[in-house]
Amino acid sequence: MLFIKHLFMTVVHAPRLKTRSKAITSKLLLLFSIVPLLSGAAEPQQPLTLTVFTYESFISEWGPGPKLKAAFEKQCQCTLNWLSSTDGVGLLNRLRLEGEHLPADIVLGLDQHLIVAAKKLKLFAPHQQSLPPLTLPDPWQDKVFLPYDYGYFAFIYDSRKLKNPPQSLAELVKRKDIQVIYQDPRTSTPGQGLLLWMQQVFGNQTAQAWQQLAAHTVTITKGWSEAYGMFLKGEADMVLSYTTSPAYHQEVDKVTHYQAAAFNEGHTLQVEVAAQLAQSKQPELAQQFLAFLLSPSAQRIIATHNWMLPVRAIKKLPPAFGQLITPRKSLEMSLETIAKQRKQWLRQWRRAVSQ
Amino acid sequence: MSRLLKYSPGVVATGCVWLGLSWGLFNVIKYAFTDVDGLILDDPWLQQVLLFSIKQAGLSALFSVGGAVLFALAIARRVFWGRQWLMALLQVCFALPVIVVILGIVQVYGRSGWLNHLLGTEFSIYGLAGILICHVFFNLPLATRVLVSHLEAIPDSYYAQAAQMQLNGWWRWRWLEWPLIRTQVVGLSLLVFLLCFNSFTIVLALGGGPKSTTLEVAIYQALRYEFDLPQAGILALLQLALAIIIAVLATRLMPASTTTAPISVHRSQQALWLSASKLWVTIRGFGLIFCLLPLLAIVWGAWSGLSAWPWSSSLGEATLNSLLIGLCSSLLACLLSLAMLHFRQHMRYRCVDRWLEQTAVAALYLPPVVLATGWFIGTLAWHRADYWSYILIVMANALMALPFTFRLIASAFQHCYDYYGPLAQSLGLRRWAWWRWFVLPMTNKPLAQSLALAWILSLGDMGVAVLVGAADFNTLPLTIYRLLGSYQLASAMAVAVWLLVCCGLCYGLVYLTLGRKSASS
Repeated sequence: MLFIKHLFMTVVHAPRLKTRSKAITSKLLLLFSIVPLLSGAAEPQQPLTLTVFTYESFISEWGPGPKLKAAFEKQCQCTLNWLSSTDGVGLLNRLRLEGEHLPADIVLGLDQHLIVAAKKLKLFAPHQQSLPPLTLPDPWQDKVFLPYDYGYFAFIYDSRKLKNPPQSLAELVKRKDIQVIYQDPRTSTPGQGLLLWMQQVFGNQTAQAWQQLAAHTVTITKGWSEAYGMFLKGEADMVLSYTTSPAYHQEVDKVTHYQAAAFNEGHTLQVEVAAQLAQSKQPELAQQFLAFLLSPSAQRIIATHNWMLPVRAIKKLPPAFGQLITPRKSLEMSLETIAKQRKQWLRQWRRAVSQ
Repeated sequence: MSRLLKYSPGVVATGCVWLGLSWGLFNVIKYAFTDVDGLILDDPWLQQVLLFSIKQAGLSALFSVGGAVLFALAIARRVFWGRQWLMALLQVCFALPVIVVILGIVQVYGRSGWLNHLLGTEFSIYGLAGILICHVFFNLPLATRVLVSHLEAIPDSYYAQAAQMQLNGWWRWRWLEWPLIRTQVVGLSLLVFLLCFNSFTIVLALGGGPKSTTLEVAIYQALRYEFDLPQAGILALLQLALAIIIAVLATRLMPASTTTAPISVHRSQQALWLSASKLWVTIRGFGLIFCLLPLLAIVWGAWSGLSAWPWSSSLGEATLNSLLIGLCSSLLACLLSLAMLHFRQHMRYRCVDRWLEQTAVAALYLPPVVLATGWFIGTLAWHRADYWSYILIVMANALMALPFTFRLIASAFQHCYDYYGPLAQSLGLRRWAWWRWFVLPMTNKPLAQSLALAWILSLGDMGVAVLVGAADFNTLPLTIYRLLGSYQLASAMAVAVWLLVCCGLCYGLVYLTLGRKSASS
C-alpha cells in the first residue's frame, strides 16, 4: 500500500495553525448563530399548495411559468410551486427513479412520443376533462395526458450569416460548412424529436447520417435552453428548435433575421402534454389546474411565452404567428413503434456520435 | 463482558465497511448479469468509451508526472525565497474541492476566459483539453511533492562528493537524481493514472459531449439519462475490474524504500546547483503560475461578482446540507477508524493487521461512483431517492475519507498503546479511564486533523451527490455545478468562495477546538 502513503503524505502534512482561545469561542458562536438563520424561521400555515413538475425553460423568467402562476393563483386561492428538470425526457427519467415519492401533483412537459413509456410507470391519473375543439392536426384520444401546446421541430438560423440555408434534412446532414447544435435525445424532447425525424427521413441509412452530422456538430447539450443560448451567442450556425421560435424574436426582440429552415421531407410534430400524478394529495386542485391549462387565457400565455402553437383557436394571436413557415408535411410515427424501437435507435445514435 | 467490549467495536466496524462494500458490489453484479440483451459488450460505443477513458488517464499521467519531474528538480535544486509557501500551495492544490478548481480553470482557459482574451484566440476548454488541464492541476502538485521529498532525501554528502569529482549538470542528473526519480516515476504514473481513471466530476463538467465520455460518466448516463440498470451494472463492473488491476499494478511497482519525512531539509548552499540557469527559474515560474492562476481567478471572479451574490434560501439549504453531511461522514469515518484501530491493538496478528489495513484503504481503489451506483440501485426498491440521498452520500464520503483518517490516527494510537499500555495495565486502569486519560489526549491532534480533513473532503465532493441525489437535492458543490451549467459564472464563483470559506471554517473549528488540547495536556 505504499502508493497510498504518497497520496496520504501530500494531504496530511497540513500547515499548523496558531491559535488564540478567544477566536475559538467567537467562531463557535458564529457557526451556531448561522445555523438557525440558514434553516429559516418557522413559516405560518400555508393555504393549499400545488406542485407542478416541468422543464427549465417553461419556468424561466421569460417563459410562461411566472404568468401562469400569477393567473392560476388568482383563481384557486392556493400557491403554485414549480419543480424543474433540465428538459422533457429528464422529467420521465426522474419519474422512473423517484416514482410515487416525487413531491409533485402535475407533470407538465412530456410529449406524445413519451406517452407509452410514461404510462407503463402507472403513476398517472386520468385527466377527466371534456375537451373543447382542438386545433391539433389529429384528433386527441388519450384519456390521461392532456395536450397544452404543439409545434414542429425545425432548425433555426441567422439569415444575416447563413445566406443559403439547407432545403432538406438530407442537405443539412451533408453540409459540412454548417455548424450545428442539438440536444441529447436521452434527456431532451427536441433531441428525441430529431432522433425520430432522422429515423423517418433516412430509415436504414440513419446511422451513417448521424455520423455525417456528427462531423459538423459543435456540441450536444442536455437541454433546450443551453443549446439555444449557445446558438444566440454565435457558437453555431443552426440549432434544433421549433418552427415557432422566430415568432419570439419578432415579437420580443423586434428582429426578423432568425428564421426556421423549411425542409422538403416535412417536419416532425410534437404535442406537449400534462397529466395529474395519481399520488397527488389534492386531486381537485390538480384537475382545476389541468382545466385552467386549456382556458383561453392560459393558452394565450403559453403561446406567447412558450412560443408554441396553442391547442385551441385563439383570437388575435400576435401577427408573427401568421408569418411562420408551414411544414410541407407533418411527420408522425406510431407511438407503439417508438416505444418499441426507442432504445435501439438511441444506441445507434450513441454509437455513431461517439466516434 | 470485557472480551465483548474489546472485540465487538472493531468487528462491527470492519463488518460494516465490508458489508457496505460488498452490498454495493452485489447490486452492481446482480444487475450486470440481468442484461438479457447482452448487446452492450459488443457495442462499438463501449470500445470508444473505454479507449477514451484510458487515453485521458494516460495523457493526464504523462503530463502530470513529466511536468512534476521538471518542477521538482527546479524546486529541489535551489533554495529560494518563498519555497515553503510554494510547497504549501502545492499541498492546497490537491485538497481543493474539485468543482471550485473547475470553475477557476474555466475562468482562466475557457472560451471567454483570460487566456483567450489575452491571445485573442477561441480555444474551447470543453473536451479532452479541459479534462487534461484539470487533471494536471490536481496531480502535478501531488507528484511534485512526492518527488521533491525524495530528491531532498539525497544526503548532502553525495552532493559534496559530486562537487569534488567535478560532476557537472548532466552527470549529476545521471548519477544522483535520475536513479532516485526512476524508482518513483512508474509507480507515481500509475497512481495518477488510477486517480484520473476514477475521476468523475471533472469529466462530467468539462467533458462536453458523447465524444469525450469516460466509463464513469457512462455509468452516470446509464443511470440518470436512460435508467438502464443492467447497463449501469455492467459498466460499473468493468470500471471496477480495471481500477483494481491498475491499483494492484501500482502497488507492485511502487518500490518499498520510500521516505515519508516531512520536507524541511535545509541544504547548504554548496550542495546545490550553483548554475543560475534561467531555465529552472522559468520552469518554477510556469509551475507557480499554473497552480496559482485558477485560484486567483476564483477570488477575482467572486470579487467582481459580489453584486451577483446568489443569496437565497436554497443556498442556505445547500450550505446546511453540505455541512451536516460533512460532519456526519467525518464523524463516521473517525469512529470507524478508532474502532478498527482498537481492534488491531487487541488482535496483534499479522493477518488481522493486513486485513484491517486493506479494509481501510479499500475505498481508494473502489471508485466511489461504482459503490454509490450499487447502493443507489439497492435502495431504489425501498424508498427511492428520498432521505436515502443523505444516507448514501454520508456513507460514501465516510468510506472515501477512511483511508486518510485511519492512517492519520494509526501511528499516534500505536504510540500510545506501546508506551503507556503496560503502565495502564499495571495500574489496573479501567477501560473508560484509559480512553479518557491516555488514548484521547494522546491521539487528539491526529483525531482533530482527520476529522477536519474528512469534513473538508466531504464538503468538496460532488460526484456521489450528482449520482444519487434527487434532482432538487442541493449541496454547495451541486449549486456551483448548476450555476456553471447555466453560464452564471459570477454567481458560481461567489458560491465557490463561500464553499472555500466553509471549508476554512470547518477546518479551523475542529482544529482549534479539538486539536489544541493536547498542547496543554
